Amino acid sequence: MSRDGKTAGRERGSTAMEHPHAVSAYVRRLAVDGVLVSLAVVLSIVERWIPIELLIPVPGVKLGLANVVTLFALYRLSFFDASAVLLVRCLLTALFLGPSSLLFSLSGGALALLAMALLRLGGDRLFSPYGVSMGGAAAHNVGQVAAACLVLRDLSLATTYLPMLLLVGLLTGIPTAAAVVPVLRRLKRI
Amino acid sequence: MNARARRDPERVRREPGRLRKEVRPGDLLVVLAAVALAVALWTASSLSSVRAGGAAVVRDGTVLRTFTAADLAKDATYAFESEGYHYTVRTGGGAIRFEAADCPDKVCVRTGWISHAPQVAACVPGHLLLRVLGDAGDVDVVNR
Amino acid sequence: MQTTRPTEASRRRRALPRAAALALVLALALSAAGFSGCAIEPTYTKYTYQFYGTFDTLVQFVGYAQTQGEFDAYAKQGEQRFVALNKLFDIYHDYEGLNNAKTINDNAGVAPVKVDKELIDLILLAKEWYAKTGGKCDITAGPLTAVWKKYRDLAADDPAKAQVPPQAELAEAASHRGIDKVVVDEAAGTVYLQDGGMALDLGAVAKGFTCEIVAKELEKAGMTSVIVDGGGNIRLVGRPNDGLRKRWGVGIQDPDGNPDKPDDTPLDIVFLHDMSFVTSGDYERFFTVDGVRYCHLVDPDTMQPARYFRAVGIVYPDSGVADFMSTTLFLLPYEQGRALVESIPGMEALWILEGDELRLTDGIKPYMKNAGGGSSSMS
Repeated sequence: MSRDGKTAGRERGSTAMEHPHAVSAYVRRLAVDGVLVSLAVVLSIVERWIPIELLIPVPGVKLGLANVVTLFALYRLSFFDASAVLLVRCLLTALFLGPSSLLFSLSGGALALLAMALLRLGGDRLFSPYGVSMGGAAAHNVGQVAAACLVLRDLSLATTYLPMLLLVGLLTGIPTAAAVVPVLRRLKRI
Repeated sequence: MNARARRDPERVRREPGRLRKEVRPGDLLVVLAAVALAVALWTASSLSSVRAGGAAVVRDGTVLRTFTAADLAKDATYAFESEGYHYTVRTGGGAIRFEAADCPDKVCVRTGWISHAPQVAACVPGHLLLRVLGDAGDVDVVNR
Repeated sequence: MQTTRPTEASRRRRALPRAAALALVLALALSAAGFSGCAIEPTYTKYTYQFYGTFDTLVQFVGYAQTQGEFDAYAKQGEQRFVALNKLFDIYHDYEGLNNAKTINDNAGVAPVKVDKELIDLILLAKEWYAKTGGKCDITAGPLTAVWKKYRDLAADDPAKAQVPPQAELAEAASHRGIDKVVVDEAAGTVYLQDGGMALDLGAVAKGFTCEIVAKELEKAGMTSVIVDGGGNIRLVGRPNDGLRKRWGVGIQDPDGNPDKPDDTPLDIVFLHDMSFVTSGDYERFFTVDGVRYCHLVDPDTMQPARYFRAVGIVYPDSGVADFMSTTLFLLPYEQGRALVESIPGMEALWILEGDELRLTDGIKPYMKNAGGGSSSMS
């Protein structure tokens, strides 16, 4: 997917050159992004099986499992890779789940990505992956409601459900981070 | 970003750290900000909340049917169809709810009774919305 | 192939992720637009617009529109017409380049005056309904009402010196009455008062007539859900566009209550649409001498203010006619007035007597909240 040889070069230029089998950074990045996309698609579909709306009866509420991938990409790759993976993931899941899901996954995913990228700007001293993930999940839910608002053409949907969704985001953000943290610890570089 | 993270000496020192130790002060800020926003929104909406003066069934911004306060007081059920799904709406005791639906997620049904404006119960797959309307009051103008 | 320093090739390779990021930001902007897009609610919002300075009273528009801006645009259009028509029907002031009711009075016994069509129509309506109703509401009673106004103003300046006008002064003023001495030439667009001592007083019909004109113009311009409230003259256009109610609710003020206190419960509420509701009451303009109330509604025959009721209300489609009729009914005893109203198709009335006793014609009763169990959801 990503052909971002430059990004790879800038961030890990030396390691790339030290690599025993000098595979092009571009090819490697393409492979990594591809794996992330497939992982994200699977997670998007799996989360459909988890009926979180049973617990929280809010239209369009999702666990946001695919945020795992976005979070990882933000920590170990770049904002560009994260957004590229997100975009392709949304387009691909739309093939599986129908075009109407595109609006929801895109608005939720993009808002989450933006929130998490902003929190990452604060640096690792200020925010751990948990804080970043919680912020991202809350933003993800806000995006979902925005999409529901658009579909149903009613803003009161947002004012009614937003408080609950912000709190729910804090909760669902924790397992996402818990899944990513061990991976980050083991995978220092890709 | 990655480069910065790796240059961060504190982070390097802490690795491999305990999960618990990974939590950072800013995380609390995120929680506090979200809770504060939620509480503010909730307070604002509950302050403006008024007892139902009526209700409306809306599809894609078009009002399909309205219920007056008198309608809401009566125990009755109404049938609606939207996007191929079927819904049963029940009124009674000044409140209204989706009682049954054959939509995929049933979020609308689980929302339960709503009785105060501007509460809504929504079915996203069916593009159907139950909205509680405020009490418009009886008097628009008084002769002088 | 190896990685490394920025080259032209690698810069080109960066283009795709950048484009993807850009696309995502666009998607984000779209979802932000989603939020603002759904701010366009399907239901209309109720707005109010008030202004003073015409017809000696507060005028207000209450109606439903999608935005404040849309509503205000209609309201300002209405306000302009109120200002213009108030000048035209004014009998106290001259306006540069305008022939108005005062110009007609000033030229009584002198010459016909060319005036705008609205003033011609108003006088014709008053003449027509004077004939239909036995002549209680008389726009040529100007000198008589002027005498009462003079004494009312004196009482307002110094209530201790309040007095009733002497009979001789009233008789002289009333002697100039005569609706037939108002000569209207429709073709020429002129009005001529044949008696040099006579004067028009359009107070009993001008406000309602103006409300009717403004309401019709607003409706034509596209404002389909609005109340034109000219201080006691209420003209309802359409139905309340809140997606819920089918009729406007008009509160009937307790004659002893304070109209500016919203908590004051009205005597009753009448639910109407596309209709006028006009009241005449003794509480609008009055003065008191020795504990007796002298209101502004003067019976041209007795030359004294009428004292049958606290207030009379008329329900009728045309606001100008309703205004005329509310004055007429205030000056007629109950039985006589009721017979008159019942002889006119489509007209209903209510009378408020001393002690808040409410009398109603049969046709209005079902639409009253307390008296008939009416509600805003009646079709």
